[in-house]
Amino acid sequence: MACASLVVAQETGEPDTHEVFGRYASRIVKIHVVENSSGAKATIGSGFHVSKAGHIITNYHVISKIVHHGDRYSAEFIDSGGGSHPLKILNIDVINDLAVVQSDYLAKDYFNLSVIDISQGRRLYALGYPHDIGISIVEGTYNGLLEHALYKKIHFTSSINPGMSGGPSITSLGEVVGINVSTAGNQVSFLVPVEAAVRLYKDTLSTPDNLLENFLEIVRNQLYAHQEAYLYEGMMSSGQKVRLGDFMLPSRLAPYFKCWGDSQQTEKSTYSVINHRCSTDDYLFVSGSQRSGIIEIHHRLITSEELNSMAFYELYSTFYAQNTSQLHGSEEEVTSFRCESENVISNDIPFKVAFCIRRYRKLQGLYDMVLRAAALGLKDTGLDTTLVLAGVSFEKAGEMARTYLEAVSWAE
Amino acid sequence: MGRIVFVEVMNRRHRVSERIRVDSFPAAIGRAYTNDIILDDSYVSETHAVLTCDEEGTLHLKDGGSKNGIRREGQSNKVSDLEISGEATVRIGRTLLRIRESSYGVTPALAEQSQYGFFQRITRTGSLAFLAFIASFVMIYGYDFIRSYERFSPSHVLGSVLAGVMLFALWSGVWSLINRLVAHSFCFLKHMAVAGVIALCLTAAYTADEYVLFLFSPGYAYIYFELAGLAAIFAMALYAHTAIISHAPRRRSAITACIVAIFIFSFTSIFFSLGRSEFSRNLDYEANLKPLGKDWIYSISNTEFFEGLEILKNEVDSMAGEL
Repeated sequence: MACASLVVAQETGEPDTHEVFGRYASRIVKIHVVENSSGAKATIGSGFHVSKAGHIITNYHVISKIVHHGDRYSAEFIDSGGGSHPLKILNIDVINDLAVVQSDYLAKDYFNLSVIDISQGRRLYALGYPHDIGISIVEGTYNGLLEHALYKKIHFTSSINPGMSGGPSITSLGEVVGINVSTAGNQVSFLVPVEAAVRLYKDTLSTPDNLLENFLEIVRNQLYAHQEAYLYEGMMSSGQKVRLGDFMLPSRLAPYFKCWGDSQQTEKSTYSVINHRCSTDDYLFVSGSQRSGIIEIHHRLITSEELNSMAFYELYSTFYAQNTSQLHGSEEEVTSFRCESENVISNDIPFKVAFCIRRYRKLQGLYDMVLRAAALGLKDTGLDTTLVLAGVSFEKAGEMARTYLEAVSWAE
Repeated sequence: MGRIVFVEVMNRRHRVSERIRVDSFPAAIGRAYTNDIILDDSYVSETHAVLTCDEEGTLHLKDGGSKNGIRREGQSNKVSDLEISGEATVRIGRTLLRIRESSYGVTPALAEQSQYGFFQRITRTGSLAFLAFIASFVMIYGYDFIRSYERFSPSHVLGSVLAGVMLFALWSGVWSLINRLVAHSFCFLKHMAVAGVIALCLTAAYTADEYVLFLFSPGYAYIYFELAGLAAIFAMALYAHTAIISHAPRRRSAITACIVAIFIFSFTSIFFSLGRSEFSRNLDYEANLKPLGKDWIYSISNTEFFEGLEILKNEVDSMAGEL
């Protein structure tokens, strides 16, 4: 492997990794979020200087504890010499998981942020402080933007580890291509495209300091505006449909949805189940225990030839009682769910419907919604369907749930 | 035949605690042993009062030089000579005395209520009780069997039937032991019959409840109605078991059972409402589905349902402020 990469390097005329490291490592900083009363580290991450005036770009999720509990946490960065400097949040972009922070430390060396155009297969170097064990450089290849994604991300074939979040991925010439953000394991990592950082940084420079103080309000406004934009009218009736039994059901609502299906029937069981799941496959990080910006669809068709209708409906009830969606969130962040249940007729199909919501305590006007519906009236067939929306307004939740139910119909 | 008068010593609840027949006059009342009627009360003088009969045959209660005197019931002034016609109630010291002539008319007797209620009837003989239990058991387990969606397996069915029998035997056994302690007999089969019938009622109520929930989705407050129903069935069980054990008046056992039921209802209601205010990530919705045809299901339109959700929003909004 070492020989192979050496050959490539010679052919493209790219410098060795240690040269890249030597040139740019001093621009990378280690960020600590510290619990005030004990002085212990609560989160570690990376960041990089983008101006002489001490502006640093990192991930929103690295400093999110300060946004939520400004009174309990504070941030500092550790320079290459080991000295620590307090950080102040200047701006955040929760949708792209970015933040601009600043210290009074004047950077000798920094990256000039600009939008760049590069081709697939280009060698990139990710820099950061994995697991708090000292600065590292990781080589990998640029594999373009994720084809179908709700949240724009670069597919970077390399191993980004926890702690490297917020660090840059650069070309050998020191151009920032993206910001390390997450990994799916096995050499599949993701970067936030540099355009988002450029936008946020410019926005920060043009906004007076005092306008950006209540960051929770900013998180709330960004999430609110985001859901208004990506959940559009007619979304539930457009997109691909799937046929399960005699039902036509919403499936891949938009290109960024991923769908899976399976079926279960064993010799021993008296029934069979067909599963069909679709989801946005990605989420927005709000806090350590709260995720948002999620759409999930789950259909289950339960059929049985041998059960009598009483027994079948006992079975069907146990399926309908299961909640297969896993929405996280702590008591500090969300309320308990409250549900409204009713028998509802839609498209000539009677359903038992439960509409459940909970509110984000600190982010006014945002809710998580779970819609559960079970088709009624058939003796040996049950259709159990779920729609989950995380981080939506109440009006959107109602509208999406209503149009979702309308999109379920009898197959012709 | 001489005149006969009864002096009755009353307790605090106005019930007669002692009845003394007086047929010779004068009769002395006091604390000393020289009296005809001796009262064990420190506020009563040695010779407190005398019950006399004058020439005209009128009865008198006269003060015999007492320290605290004689008072009519409910009055504070002392009387030294009280004429008694038919009946009088007086206070002597701290003792309440009712004096009645033997000619005093009493109220007609009350008609006795039937000894046998439903449970007494089915548990009158052992074999009848056993039959009642078997019938209930078969109905409960038959219903359960029809609704089972597991593939039929003899060991599974046998296992659940045995577990059921054990449960009934345990419940009835506990009651039998109590029965033995109180009334020197076990009455095991009778208790078993009561347990069976009560369990059948419980199954019927539970099924009816499921259909109500399915058809009308009555909302959260309905749980208090369910708890009340459960408490009522429990009261019924308590009443039936105690009726076997003791021959106390039926009304008294019924009242006791009701009090216990109210206590259980209050306790479970508090428990449930506290549980609801606890934070949870679970969805708490009604998941009962029933095999009814479309025409049998009361339903509203899609639009109607989604227009009526504002209350839900207000509820979670108000919860968001708490903590």
